[in-house]
Amino acid sequence: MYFFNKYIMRILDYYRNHLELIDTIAIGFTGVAGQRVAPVFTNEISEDVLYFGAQVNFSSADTLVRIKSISPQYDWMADDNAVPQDTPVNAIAGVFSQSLPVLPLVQPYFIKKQGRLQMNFTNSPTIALTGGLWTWRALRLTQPINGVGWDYSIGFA
Amino acid sequence: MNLNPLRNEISTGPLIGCKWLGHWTPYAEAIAENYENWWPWFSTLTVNLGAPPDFFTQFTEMQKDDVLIFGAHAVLNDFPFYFLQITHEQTGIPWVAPNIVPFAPVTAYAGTNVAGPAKFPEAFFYPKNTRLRLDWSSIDPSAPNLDPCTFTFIGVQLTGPKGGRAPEEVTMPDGSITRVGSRIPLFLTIGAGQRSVGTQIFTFGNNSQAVQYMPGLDCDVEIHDASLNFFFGYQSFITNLRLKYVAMGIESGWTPSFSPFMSFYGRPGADYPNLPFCKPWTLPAAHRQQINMINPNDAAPLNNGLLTLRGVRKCFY
Repeated sequence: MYFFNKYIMRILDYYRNHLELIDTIAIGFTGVAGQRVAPVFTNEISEDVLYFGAQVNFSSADTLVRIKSISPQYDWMADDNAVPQDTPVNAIAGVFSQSLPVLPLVQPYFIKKQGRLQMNFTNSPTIALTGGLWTWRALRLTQPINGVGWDYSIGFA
Repeated sequence: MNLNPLRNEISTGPLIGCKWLGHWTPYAEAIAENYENWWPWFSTLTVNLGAPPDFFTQFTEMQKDDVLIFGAHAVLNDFPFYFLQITHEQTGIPWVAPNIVPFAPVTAYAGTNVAGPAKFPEAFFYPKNTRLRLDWSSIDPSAPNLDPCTFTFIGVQLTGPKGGRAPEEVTMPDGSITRVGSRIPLFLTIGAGQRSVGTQIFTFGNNSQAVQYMPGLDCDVEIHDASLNFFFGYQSFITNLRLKYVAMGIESGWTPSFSPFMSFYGRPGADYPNLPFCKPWTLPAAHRQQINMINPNDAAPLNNGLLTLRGVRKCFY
């Protein structure tokens, strides 16, 4: 389900320990069709984190999301349109009730400590959801061998 | 900077997950390389437990050649109620760690029905002329007379050992030397909620919170994935169950907030009936794991829910 390519192994090499992290974020839908709620963020973690996959606790094919990393500044969704088309959540996250309840990312995403992911959700226009939880499966990277750990600028050195 | 890439090599290979996709672990491959011929191998057993409580013990047949067992498949309807302990008779090592729950749901071992087989966290080296003992249990008084279960071990028969006998040790991806037979599938099982004195099953009351601990072990173990023996089709309110997971020895909370059960545990019939951790994690000897769970439902309680972690026991006795 998860594949550790050389790029990921290179990041892991900078840390002595890798701990499981399960980060659940409340989306806050209020049952309004097509509602665009305020952005939600992953919890700030006191160590560097590798995000591997995601799950939502609702089944709705036309609920949308736009994800960006606050630090480093990186927008996951490439889109040059004046009115960008956000991405269906099922393209990124598994659904709790389906055969693959956690969907692995194509490439795990690294964030340094205290970094956050921002997620902008748009409620389904057909099945107006209330509440909603998004859960990230991740690794917390502790005890950096060089005292600092991996950094965005290092790349696949 | 003194990085140590080998230290981070994953002992079971770079592809994580219990779905049987035909890939071997490095341990299995290293063992097989000591044999001339590798043949597909299946061993099927049938059990039919009656009205609970009911128990049944059976053995696999002794094999004339060494075998590597990769995983299992089960055909059954009553999968929440079939519990199983497997013990290698020669060494006496049980696959389910000794605990107040002395077995694991059959769905922690095997993929079910049309979902196909599931693989164990590590291949089991099954030496020739030995047997596996399978202790089956059904204890839930609400269970019906169970339909039969057909359980199949899936593996590879190894013939023609080079040098005339099985290897004693193999080299792992991190360069370490591992004794053949020292990596054994491990199951840690505990109930959801609290144990009922009267029926011996676990009950998770509505609008309640419970804390349970996995047993500590006498050697380091790798923990790979997690599963439960029930799912929302049986208990619609499972979608609301929440948990917070803590590794006690290093006091590391894995969940900043309470997370849904279904984001942590796999369920029977899914592609990955045991939902993998992002990376196998080493649980140090004697460390326990705490599961803090909440059932916020107003409806009826959850009965007979078992939570299982799977991994690899790295002991050699």
